[in-house]
Amino acid sequence: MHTPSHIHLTDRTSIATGERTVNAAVTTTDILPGAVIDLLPPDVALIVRNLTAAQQSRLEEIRMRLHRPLELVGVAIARGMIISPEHLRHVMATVTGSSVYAVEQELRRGYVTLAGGHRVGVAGRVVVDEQDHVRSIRDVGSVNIRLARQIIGSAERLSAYILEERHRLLPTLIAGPPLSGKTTLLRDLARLLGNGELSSHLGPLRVAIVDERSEIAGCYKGAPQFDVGLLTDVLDGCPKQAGMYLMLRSMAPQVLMTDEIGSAADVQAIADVSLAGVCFIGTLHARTVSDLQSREAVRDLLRAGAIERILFVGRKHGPGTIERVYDGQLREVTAAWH
Amino acid sequence: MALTWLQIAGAGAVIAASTVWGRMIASEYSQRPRDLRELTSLLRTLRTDIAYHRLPLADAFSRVSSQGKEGRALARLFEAAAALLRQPGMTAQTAWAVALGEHVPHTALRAQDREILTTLGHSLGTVGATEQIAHLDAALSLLTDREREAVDERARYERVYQTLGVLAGLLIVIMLI
Repeated sequence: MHTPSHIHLTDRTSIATGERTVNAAVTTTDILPGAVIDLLPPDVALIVRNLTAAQQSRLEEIRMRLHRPLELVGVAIARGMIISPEHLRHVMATVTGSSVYAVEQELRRGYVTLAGGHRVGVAGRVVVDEQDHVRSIRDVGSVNIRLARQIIGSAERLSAYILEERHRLLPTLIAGPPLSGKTTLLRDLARLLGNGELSSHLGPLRVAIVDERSEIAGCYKGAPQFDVGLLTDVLDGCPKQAGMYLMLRSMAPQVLMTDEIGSAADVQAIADVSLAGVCFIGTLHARTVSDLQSREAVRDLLRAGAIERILFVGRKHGPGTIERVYDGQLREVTAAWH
Repeated sequence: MALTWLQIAGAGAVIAASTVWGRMIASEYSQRPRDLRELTSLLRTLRTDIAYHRLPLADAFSRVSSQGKEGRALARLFEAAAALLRQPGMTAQTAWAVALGEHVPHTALRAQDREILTTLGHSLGTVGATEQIAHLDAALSLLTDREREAVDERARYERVYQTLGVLAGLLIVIMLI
């Protein structure tokens, strides 16, 4: 009679332990999105789960390179965890839903966007067609999972630079190297403008986002996964140039946003946007003013007078630090008002 | 020489058994074209879902299985593949191979038919849309050929085995009397 009750007791303890483990997992996925954890092979997922809360909030990218250690950008290199072909196959199977054809278009550009706006970059053997266009990437050798995070309030300090006389929004470029926090700033700016919270003199504005890579709003099945503001419309997955004209026609925006402009076609569209009286705000890859000047498309854009502020951001005090500010004639400006 | 009732009953049992045996072989010949036709029509659905909707395989398999006849082995094949694919880290090739191993034995498909499906599995989910469709088309045209052969075989052998069953029974009875 005693033995069964003893066994019963042990059972209960193990169930209780089980519950604790489950609860712990729930708390960590609150910091680290489940969409990302679920991609990882079990042993890699365990390492990431076991990071402290502080480490998890510092984590920016999870990088896996074949036969080399796992890199947790912002935290450490896990030297004990060597990435095997099996690891990469697992990640690629989960990222593509085991269906390469379904994400073929995205893979051609080198990355796939997940629910939640996270981005999985891929490198490996590239297959090209006769015209040297990338057809697909096979034999994947590196995977980079970049976590998208919304930092509410990060763009509030922009109000000191991008407003004229406190109520006119200036067309702006946010420039910086990769991982400098450009997109995070743009996302929060959309929220502030769409909610009318950037300045007390500026009511809520109709913001249109052309989100070519689903990075700004992180749309999943049409719904933005990030808070991008009350009056904000998102055109998801659309090429920038076509998207800007489309949004001009269909949504009559007051502000139009896109990420990572660069081509001459983008510049032409931006010039037309500003002629239509819409304020353009975008980001681009550039470290310094001379980087800007060396790009013909950007020179054209400045010459057209379509941009009145350029903010250089970097990581001096964490991602999204505003380092320098220039006007449309590339003269440095200090905060317009405080 | 009068037959006893026992002998008549025994002869009847022998003839009945061999008739059933003949019909079983004949039914394999009649079932195979039906299974092949159902399989090609299900694969055509899969092809459409991939070519026009770019549905991920797990969703595409689910849809295909709902198009199949409920409870039939082929519908369950796609259902099982879809369920396996939803496990994290599962590749399409493995899921497909496991599902084939589980459900093809419940159909009239032969080893050579199954070979086509296994080969198709090597490309599933690992290539772009154009290639994926090319692989599916190749499998479909092979299976259509097989179906035509199976129809011919049915015409040739179905009646033969049915008759053979009855006649074999009669032969045994005559030899034993």
